[in-house]
Amino acid sequence: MNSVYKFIAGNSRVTPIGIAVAAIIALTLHNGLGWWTAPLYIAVLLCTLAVCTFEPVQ
Amino acid sequence: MSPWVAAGTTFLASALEFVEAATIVLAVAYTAGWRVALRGMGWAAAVLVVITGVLGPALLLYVPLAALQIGIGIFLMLFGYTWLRKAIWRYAGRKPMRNEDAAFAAEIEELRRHEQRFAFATAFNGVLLEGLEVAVIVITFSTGRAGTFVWAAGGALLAGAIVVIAAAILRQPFSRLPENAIGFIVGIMLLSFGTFWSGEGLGIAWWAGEATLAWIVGLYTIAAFVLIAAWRRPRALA
Repeated sequence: MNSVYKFIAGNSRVTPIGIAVAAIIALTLHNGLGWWTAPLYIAVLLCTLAVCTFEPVQ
Repeated sequence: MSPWVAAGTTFLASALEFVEAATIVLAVAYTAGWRVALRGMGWAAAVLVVITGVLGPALLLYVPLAALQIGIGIFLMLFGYTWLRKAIWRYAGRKPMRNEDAAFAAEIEELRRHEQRFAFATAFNGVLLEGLEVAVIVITFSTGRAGTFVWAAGGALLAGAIVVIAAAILRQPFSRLPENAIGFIVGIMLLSFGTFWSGEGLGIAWWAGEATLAWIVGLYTIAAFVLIAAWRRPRALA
């Protein structure tokens, strides 16, 4: 199980959470936010990139 | 998406994976002989061809496009984050650059302690594991957009052929390849395509249609350079 997780997500805890948060925002808010959903989706994913570099080096 | 972009991205990603697989196969060949190394490599290649050839078209036939876009997008993003953050760590000096010569020496050291059966398993596992990532990337690229399977698979096969021919001629690890630069570019491309496709699958209306992909590539590139600079700064001040 660990090796599958390492193969897919490189042992990162942050990236699956960041992707899930972005997906939930897109799914739940895209009717209300309209055009702004796309920049918000990308902003969450960019933050995920920044935060995942703080994880221990593997 | 241009089929050339699909072929180019799978070519670069596959080239890196095949270089790592070639290092393992060369180490097996030097310690246990070419016969066992090529046998392990051949079996792994056959398994990979079956996985790619069966899974790719089957996914496209039986799974709805929106579900595919979300699933594939998430897969690509997870791979992309892994590749890109490794490249950022390396450029920022937090992780040593990959050294194929050192990997080759370590592999030979390990192989010398075991018998012939272990050599076959090493070549088979090495090629299968590195190749599996190639297979996933080819399948995801070809199922994101219909008609790109041949281009994506073609890019990967071309990379494989070039690495195999170069390995056969040089008969030594590829220590001069700019692996981190390639990993950096591939990471950005995987992350960008993953973002675009998963967004489409989730119902996001991209502001510039397909051209938004170029914006996404640009944003991730800027973010990556900013992160490299930010991680380098404390070291420079110390």
